[in-house]
Amino acid sequence: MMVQLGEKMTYETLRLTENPFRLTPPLDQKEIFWAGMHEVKDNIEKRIKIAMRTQPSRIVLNWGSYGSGKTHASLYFSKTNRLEEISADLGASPAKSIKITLPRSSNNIVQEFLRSFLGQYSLEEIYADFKRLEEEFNTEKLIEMIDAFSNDNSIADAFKKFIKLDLENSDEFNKFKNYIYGDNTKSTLTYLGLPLGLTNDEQIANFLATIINCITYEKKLYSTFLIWLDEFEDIDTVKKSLADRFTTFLRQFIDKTPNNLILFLNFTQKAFMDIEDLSIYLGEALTSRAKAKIDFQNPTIEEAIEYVQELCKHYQKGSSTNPFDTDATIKYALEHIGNLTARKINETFSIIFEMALLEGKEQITQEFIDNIKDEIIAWEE
Amino acid sequence: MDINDKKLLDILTSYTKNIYILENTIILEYDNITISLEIDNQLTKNINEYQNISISLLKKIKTIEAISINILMGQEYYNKVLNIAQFYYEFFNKFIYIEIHYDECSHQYYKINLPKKQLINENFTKQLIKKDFTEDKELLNYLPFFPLNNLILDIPRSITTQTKVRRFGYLSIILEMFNDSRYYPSNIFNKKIEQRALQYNKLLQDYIDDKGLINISKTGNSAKPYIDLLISLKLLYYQNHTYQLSKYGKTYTILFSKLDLNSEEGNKFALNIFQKSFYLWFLLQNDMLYLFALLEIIYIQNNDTTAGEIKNGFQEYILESLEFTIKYSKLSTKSKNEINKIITRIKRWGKPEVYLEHIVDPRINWLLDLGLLNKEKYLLKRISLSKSGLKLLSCFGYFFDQSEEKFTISRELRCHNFFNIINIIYDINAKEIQKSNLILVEKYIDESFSLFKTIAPNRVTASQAVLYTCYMMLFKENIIVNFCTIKQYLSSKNNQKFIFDWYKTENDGSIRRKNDL
Repeated sequence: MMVQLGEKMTYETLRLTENPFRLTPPLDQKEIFWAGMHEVKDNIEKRIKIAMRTQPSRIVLNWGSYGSGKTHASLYFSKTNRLEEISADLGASPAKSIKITLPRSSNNIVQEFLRSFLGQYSLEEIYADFKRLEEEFNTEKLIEMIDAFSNDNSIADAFKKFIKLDLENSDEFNKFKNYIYGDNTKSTLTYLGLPLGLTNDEQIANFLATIINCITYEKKLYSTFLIWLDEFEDIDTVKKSLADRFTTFLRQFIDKTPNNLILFLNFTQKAFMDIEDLSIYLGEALTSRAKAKIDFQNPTIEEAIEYVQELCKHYQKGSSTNPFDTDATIKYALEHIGNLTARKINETFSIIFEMALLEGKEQITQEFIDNIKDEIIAWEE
Repeated sequence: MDINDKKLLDILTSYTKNIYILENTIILEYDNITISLEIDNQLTKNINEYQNISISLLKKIKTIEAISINILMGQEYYNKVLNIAQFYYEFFNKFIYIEIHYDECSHQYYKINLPKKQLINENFTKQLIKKDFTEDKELLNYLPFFPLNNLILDIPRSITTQTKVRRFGYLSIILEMFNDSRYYPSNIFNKKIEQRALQYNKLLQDYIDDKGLINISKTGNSAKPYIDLLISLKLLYYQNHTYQLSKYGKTYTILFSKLDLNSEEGNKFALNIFQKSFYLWFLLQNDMLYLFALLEIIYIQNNDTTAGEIKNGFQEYILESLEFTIKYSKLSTKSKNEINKIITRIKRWGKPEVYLEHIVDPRINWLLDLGLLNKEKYLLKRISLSKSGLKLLSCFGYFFDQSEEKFTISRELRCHNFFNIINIIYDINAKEIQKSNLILVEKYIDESFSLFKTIAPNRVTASQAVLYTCYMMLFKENIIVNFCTIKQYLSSKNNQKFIFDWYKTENDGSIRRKNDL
């Protein structure tokens, strides 16, 4: 029987602060945390620790079904302070992590990638980091680094201009920003005193490589730089010519960043129309470097129970008791939803909690789940 | 009644067993067929059901408006329609076309409209009403197939071809080149093929004739049409300026080496039974419209025709077939709009004879390569379906009888019945799968994990693993198991070994091994 909608309708009845199961990834840092799936987390952290301690750049392929937690992993390591904890444990310099979704909406796919990059690591932050580098080493050394890492005179010139910019002069800074975003009009170039615009893909690769090579130089400022490229499997939905362009860019970018970069490529194990996997998109150069793979395996029933419990615990009020009568109830639900993924578990338990809220239940039992199973999309008899 | 109608009525009534009437329709029953006449005046009072009448009443007919043969679906077969069409073609060198009708008692039947002026040909009509169209023909009547229901339909597909792509043997030669290198840059691929083909030129001449020969050319143009065909059949894939095997092309090369079946006559161009059945799968998938139509046309043209005669009727036949699909198929309106676009395009063929050289000629050679044409007759420049070809046509006809879908059920055929079809047309004599054989299915799926290993961990593409298993079961174990049977097993609770995901958009899925095993 439904209770009247009223003041009492909160998750407090179930001794929770909120529904622990969400359908969309959280944005607020406080809401991002890791539940269950310890093996995957350990594997990722091992990779990160190796990267913090050693030089060579790496590509790591994250594999898993839809909703197996790949996007969540990239958010977790990019937005929470977990990386700080790891680097502190190791006594290493901090690491920087950004998440970029495979660009798909624009015809200038490389420019779109650049924009996403700078959206997460702004030019102001980069400027501040370069200033710190200048202090850490000295101006001559920084210029030496720029010359060595940029592979391109006009990019080197741009960086030399960049480190001399006056942040107070917002006009100048904005002009430089426009330049980075491809403004190559004569007035801008003359104003900045730069000979060429930043227009072709290789220059953009040089530009990004210079940033990463400098700020991770000798692991002083940052021990490693992490880029999570999410939804990479959708490369097969991008126009062929754009896909070619993007993977060529990616190869150049990796080649020019030989140290201190980890590129995590998130792949959903979907099927493709004509090919068996994405190696043709990555090309020999990237495939051969992508030795490391992390398998976001579907959890076993036991792992899934642990996941559900840990999530509930996170939202539990004080030291109150579990909303489920027994573990067998959780198991019962998990056994009836087919192949398990984090997303499917979230969807299922989100509905269970919502229905429990609507019906004013204080405890979730197998009988209750049976009563509402028609509401559960993934339910299989 | 005008004199021609009177003459016609005389011929028609001379052998009739029974005559029925309902409103403006008169049914004339013969030993083997039923003819229906539409007239413009009513001969009897209003009644609700067919009534037996005597010949004399027919004298009151004013005009015969239309004449048709009705063939009851479900009891008689589409084969009968084909045989009547063949008989008609023999007399008039013209095709007849069918409609599907329901009568008042919701009987469903094929309706063949016959032009009045042809029926006045006494010789033709007399034979027509006496002849038994089910007897003494090479088409098979009974086929043990899995019934089709809840059909997923595709628009009638066809691929674009160039007249030079005559030999499937070259497809095999090209696919096998990927045993040496995982991919080929586009700027050298054509030349590589031409060089490779050189060593087989003599074999091609020994095979039947040297049509479709790949020769050394300055530009690499000689190999190009074959590359395009492999791309159209989805056996090759082009990306980043390189050619690579598609997921299906990979399946071919692995099966080819695993099965290690000899080609007939030890000639690369004489395909072995695996190759024939493999390419047939991809023709069904990508070229169902032309494949089915071509088989029908050859059969209707007395199963003894020439490339020229096929081409004469081809455009008209395809257009009629597409119109038929729009009228009777259960395809969505959106798909039917697509078909309308195809129709407009085909109508616009400026010089059909030029187009048809590119469509018909290659396919005749493909049918020959697949063993669907009679080779001896081909050497005498006659086109005639072999026993295998006739069986395949019977299979298509059977499914048409069952589903009323003609060019649109390729997906269902491949999924539920393909390996039965292969078993029948190539006389393989394999047994149907039993529950106890599932262990073999599991074994082959298991094997596919190492054979189709990719950069993804513990994962194999479902279509590769399942097709591999189907072909291995048929050719190694002599057991018929269809794609959908394996798919169903993987999705069922009986499957304890694998995790199976299926994605509708890609029409494919992935299989993983369970960890704890």
